Amino acid sequence: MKRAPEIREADEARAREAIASWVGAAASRRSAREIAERLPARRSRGGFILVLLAAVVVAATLFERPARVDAPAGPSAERPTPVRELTVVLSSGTRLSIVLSSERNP
Amino acid sequence: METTSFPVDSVAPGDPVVDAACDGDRDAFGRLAEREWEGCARLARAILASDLEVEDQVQDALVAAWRSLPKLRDRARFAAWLRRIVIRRCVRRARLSRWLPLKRMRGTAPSSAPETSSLDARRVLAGLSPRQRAVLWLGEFEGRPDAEIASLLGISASTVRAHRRQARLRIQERLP
Repeated sequence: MKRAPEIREADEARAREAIASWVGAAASRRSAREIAERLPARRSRGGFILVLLAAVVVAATLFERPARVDAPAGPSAERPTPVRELTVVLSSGTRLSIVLSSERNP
Repeated sequence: METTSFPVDSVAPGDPVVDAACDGDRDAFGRLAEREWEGCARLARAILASDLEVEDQVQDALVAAWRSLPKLRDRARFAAWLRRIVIRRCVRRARLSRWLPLKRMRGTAPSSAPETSSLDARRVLAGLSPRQRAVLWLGEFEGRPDAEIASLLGISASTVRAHRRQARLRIQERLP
């Protein structure tokens, strides 16, 4: 049904008033403390990176294979000796090398 | 025609409370959310066209805001940013409620708000789409310009105007 413009305006005003009073009545309140208590812990990026780093180190340790070097010609030539070498450089410039081997070189 | 307006954007630019909240101060965020709660609850109620889940949706939006607060670039726009989160959540929830009924809010009867008008506002709002309700509320009651509404809803200003036109037509159709 087509309404006259003035009736339409009056209707709109009535609807507007009804919506404003109904929605406006929703003004519930919640205290700052109540809101803060419901907040979850924020995931920190630093923590995530640390966990990721730790996972990489653990994975690398688990799957690490010892480096192999060619042994000099001789009785053990057919079986190269697995060798691990740890080098530490001190602040004074001194290099400390520790050679770890699972077998004794002849 | 007399316009009922509601106060919006209570966060002042350069507010130290926003800065503290962004830096991870939980209590500061609580104070900030307390200030914004009322406006967000009204917005949520208008979009959901229901009393149900208003508080849950606002609280969920606040949790989402708290989590992504470190990503907020323009701290002076905190209020608008929070509203965008509330709108997105409520529009999604209202669309879902066509298939899934809204769950009853804890301890609150569905029609707890007093009806001050002979016209059933919920019935009128229920005839509109969630986006139309958002456009209507933000423009007609919060007095926001089309460009701002468009930015809040992530749509163009011309779509805002189209939604408003459609909303008015549907309201007129629904009036007794």
